[in-house]
Amino acid sequence: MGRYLLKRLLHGIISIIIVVAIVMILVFSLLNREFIFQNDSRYTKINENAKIVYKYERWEDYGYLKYTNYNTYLVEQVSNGVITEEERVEAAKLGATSIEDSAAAKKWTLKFEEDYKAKGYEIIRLNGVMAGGNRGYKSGGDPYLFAKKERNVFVRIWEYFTNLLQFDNIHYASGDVGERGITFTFFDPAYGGDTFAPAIIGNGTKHKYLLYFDGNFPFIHQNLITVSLGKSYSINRGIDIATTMTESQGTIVQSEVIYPTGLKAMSSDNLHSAQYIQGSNNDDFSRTKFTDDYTSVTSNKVAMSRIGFSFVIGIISVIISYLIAVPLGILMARKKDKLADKIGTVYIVFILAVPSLAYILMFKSIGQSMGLPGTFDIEQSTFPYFVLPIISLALPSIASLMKWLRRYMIDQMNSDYVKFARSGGLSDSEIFRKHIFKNAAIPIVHGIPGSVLACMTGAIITESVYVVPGTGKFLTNAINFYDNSVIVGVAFFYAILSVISLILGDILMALMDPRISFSTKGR
Amino acid sequence: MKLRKILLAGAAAGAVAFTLASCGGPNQDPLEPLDTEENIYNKVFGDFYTLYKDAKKETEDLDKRYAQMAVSEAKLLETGTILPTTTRGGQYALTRVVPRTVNSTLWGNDSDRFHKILVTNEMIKKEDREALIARWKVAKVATAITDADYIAWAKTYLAAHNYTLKTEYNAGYSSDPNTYDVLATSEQADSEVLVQCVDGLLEYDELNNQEFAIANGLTVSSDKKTYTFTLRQDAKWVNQDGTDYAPVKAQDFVTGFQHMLDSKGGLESLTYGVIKGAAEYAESKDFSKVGVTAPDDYTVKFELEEVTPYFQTMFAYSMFSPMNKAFYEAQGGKFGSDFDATAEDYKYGTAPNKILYNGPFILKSADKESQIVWEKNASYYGATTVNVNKVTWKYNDGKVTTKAYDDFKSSTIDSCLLTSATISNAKTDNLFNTYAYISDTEATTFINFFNVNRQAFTTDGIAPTTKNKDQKLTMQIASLNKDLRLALQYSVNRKASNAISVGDDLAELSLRNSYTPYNFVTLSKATKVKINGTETNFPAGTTYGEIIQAQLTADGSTIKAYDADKKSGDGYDGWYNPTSAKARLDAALPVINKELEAKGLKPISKENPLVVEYPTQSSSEVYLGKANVLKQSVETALDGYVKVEIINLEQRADWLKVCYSYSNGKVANFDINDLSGWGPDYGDPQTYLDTMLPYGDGYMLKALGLW
Repeated sequence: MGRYLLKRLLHGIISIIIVVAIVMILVFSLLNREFIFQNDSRYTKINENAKIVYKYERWEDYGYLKYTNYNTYLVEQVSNGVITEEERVEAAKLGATSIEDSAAAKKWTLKFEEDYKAKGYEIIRLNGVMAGGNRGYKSGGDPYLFAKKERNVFVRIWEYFTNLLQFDNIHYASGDVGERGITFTFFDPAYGGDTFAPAIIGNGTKHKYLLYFDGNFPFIHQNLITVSLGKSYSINRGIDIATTMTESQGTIVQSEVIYPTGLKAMSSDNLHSAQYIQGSNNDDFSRTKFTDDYTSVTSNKVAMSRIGFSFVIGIISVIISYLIAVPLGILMARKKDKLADKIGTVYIVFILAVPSLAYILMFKSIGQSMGLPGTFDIEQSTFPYFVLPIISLALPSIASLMKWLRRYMIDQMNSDYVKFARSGGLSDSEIFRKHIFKNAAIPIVHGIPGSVLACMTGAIITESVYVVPGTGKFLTNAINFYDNSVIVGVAFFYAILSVISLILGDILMALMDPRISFSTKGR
Repeated sequence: MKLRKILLAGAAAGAVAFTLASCGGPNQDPLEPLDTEENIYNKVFGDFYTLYKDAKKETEDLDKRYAQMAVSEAKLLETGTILPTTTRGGQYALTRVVPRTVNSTLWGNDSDRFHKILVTNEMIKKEDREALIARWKVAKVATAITDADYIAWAKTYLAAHNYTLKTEYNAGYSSDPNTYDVLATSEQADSEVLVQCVDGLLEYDELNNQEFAIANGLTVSSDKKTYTFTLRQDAKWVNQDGTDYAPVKAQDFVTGFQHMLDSKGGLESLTYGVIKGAAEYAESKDFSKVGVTAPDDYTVKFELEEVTPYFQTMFAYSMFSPMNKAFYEAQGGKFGSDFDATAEDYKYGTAPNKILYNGPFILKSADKESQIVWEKNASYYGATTVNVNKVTWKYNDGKVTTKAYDDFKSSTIDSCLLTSATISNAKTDNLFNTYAYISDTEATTFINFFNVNRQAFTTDGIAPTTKNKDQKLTMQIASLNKDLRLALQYSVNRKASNAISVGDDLAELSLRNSYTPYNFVTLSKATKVKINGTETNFPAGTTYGEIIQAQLTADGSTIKAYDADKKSGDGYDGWYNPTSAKARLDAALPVINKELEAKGLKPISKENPLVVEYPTQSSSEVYLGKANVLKQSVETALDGYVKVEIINLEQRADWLKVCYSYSNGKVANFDINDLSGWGPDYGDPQTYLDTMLPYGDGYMLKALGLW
């Protein structure tokens, strides 16, 4: 069985890679890359050359190409000591066209072109756009010189997977941080240093706390490995989608914080999230709190992360649907063509035939008239707020579970072993409980891990109707706004979940049904 | 029988092919302009430009300046190049917010500030609303009454009419902020959240008078080129936890200005040519030459490039907001050529705990597509005037059309706009007649542009033209004819078009009839201005729109930019006029046809109509519906001489590319286009009219094919 699983896992990984590769090829090479600016109001406000340059800068940010402009190149020359600041200013004065360049500019533009052509870059010179009427350049029409190099989509795919996990290391910090290293302590200084709380603390790393314990689920946390699924352009600008999914939400909560200097204060600072920013501990205010440059912290907030909300609502609705659908499905099969079966069928047909938005809104207005809140409140996420979203998620899954269970059971009812059992004198309820249900449940069981894990992906319509701050809308929003890195990141995440669900489903099925065996020997 | 059919079909196909061949198929080649941009501009906008330049020279007498600008705007409207379409607002609404307890200045961000807002537990009746607004109007005119007096009076009135006040304010919102750095953004979605948190030097109060905020004194030099503010000493920076960080000092305004120039969020260009050295800083990165300085801890000095009569109104925007240097640097922030907002350790403004607060509220949470929460800042220098302790905005993407109304009814939010879908709900619930009022129109004007110099006939392969070479040349000549342009603008039934998006009930309410809103400025004293050479006197209190109308009437135009009966320039269709459209067409055709014949082109006739191309997003029912209304109303009014060709663009991104984010006039690939609009940046009609300036200075001219 172990070998079989290993094989499945390997196949799973390969399929994930293939899926991500296909998505990346589709998204990055076939989709018009100008579409990413659709929701960028800055882009619409600038014109002429400035617009072209802005496009290339953003494309560089989002990994489409490599880009360097002439000015950056000159600044580099200054810092390398090749030219002086005065020479740089002189060389930076581009003419409207290359013919009108000053002697210094001619010399350095030529050198720039040579240097970057040698590196395989394409040189682009944008001529100045004149306003006419002896007015000089039009706004945004200044001349530009830059070099760009397209990044092959296969290189991007490779880099995506190699950069997926980033390991923190003690050579991250660029400034003088004293002795670099990693220390282990049983007494986390964030708790005052006398409470038992193991932690691994780095110096020279990006995060101060690499491993620590706190009171929040799952109690042990790490910062050693950072996952980057893809940097967002429009959904949450500049932030990785993995962070957007997992960071806590809501208003800040204050508690007593013991800072590294020993200062005790009411604050929402989450010291465990401290990150290094060079020279950040330079002002009086920081110095009252921090002893080093690990000052960049996030806030403690009142509510769960997006994935947390989606999962909680999803998992409760999954449990409820199995609890309701399994007995009802059995009842329908046993009372086939009787009243109970007919009522059940009416329900199933209703849910399948009516668009989900329609019945969700219907149940919402029924719920609201009973006094249940119709808009989720992240601040006071108490039981009543969860009721309607959970119901609206459970309704369709109950229907489909009932439908399939009934069908599987009715299939089984006609099989020979049932007739044999009946002729053997077993009672109907015994046949149903011990034989038919066991057999009919196998395909249902296979779907359990899938439905549990799928909770993490959220529910598009339910979350949008009740404004639940979950993960459901990420993929559709990303597609709508051409937020391409997010599309890839979310697709990758979904692919992992489905591969794991399938494997877990198979294992669960094997546990349920002794006839299924993964070892080849037994046959 | 069968053979005959085939033969007939063949003959028909042959005929079609022949016709196509004889006049040529669609031709996407660019067209050479008939003249230089400068000459075309002078031909089309000459009258406007001359008058407008004169108006701008008037920097002493502001009333005179506004009056002259209104006159020049009349000339602009008469060119027929721009047709104002709609504005925001002008919708039926229900509310628990007491009217005029939020500033209602048409420019800047102060109208988003809600620190003095009064919110009741009960819905506010229409009649009470009217009574309160009547009182507000009295207060506004009387110099002795302050906004605090009005608010105190409103409280008494509300108590007497059985309303109770609450200390929390809840509203809906639809777009999330992208940054928390108020100096690095010009987007409404960002600034409407952040202006609650950061106070500047001046602020418009609830009576729309500009008052001191952090400043407590202002001296303007005699040449009007130096503005020196002194600051109050009790303004403090606090962090997101509300812990005191540092006092707000003059240097913070200097730091803030430099950071604003560095971050290039769209605010910087407004200061170019206004603040000394601001434009040059973009290249030189030498801040010592920029005219914003702090002679001492509590004095800020602004030196201007030239006399700018509207300079003070610019403080309603956030470009002069302060910023604490030490905090900024602690978040990895840098200045000048070291500035890099994409650097990994640049954290400033990336989260609500990565900024400082000196305003009435502290942002306690902002979760995308969920909610935004502010709480009162206890350390705020004006804390006693803040009327609510907590403000919550709840996300509503508008996909469920009844959500806002339902949330309003259940007190989840305190105000809502009624859509055509929810008006009937409000009527069934017996709320409409008692509570619904028409919301104020806003300052943004949406425009239908007439391209007078079309050169592009495809946008990188998107939206290829349907015209052949001759049709392109015909339009090129016709578009320079003023009568023809006006004929087209007069023939657009804007009410019917607006009805497609907002429904019949609301169709007229949000129509705008001038470019600058009629009430944008008002004369403070009796003013004389020349209208077609005759000195005309306008009494104090005359609105900008009335002066536009005086000039239009004097010119015999049928445009009604201001309706004296309605006392408004919004809320009716003052342009649509099939009779004058036909008259203008009759005047235009002989002239154009003569020119066409001279060039060997076929004259415009019903058989050979003028083809006007109008791109739209065909996947949206609303936009396609509006396009069809436009097509129908133009073709009917102009008797078939003009044919509107709708260019269908399936994807929104394509539509935006063709009609909105194109780079310059050369690539403006449409004949008419109504996708963009303009909102003001400061309190002077110049903010609108400057968009029509030549030589690439005017942002809107690219939509007319120029620069």
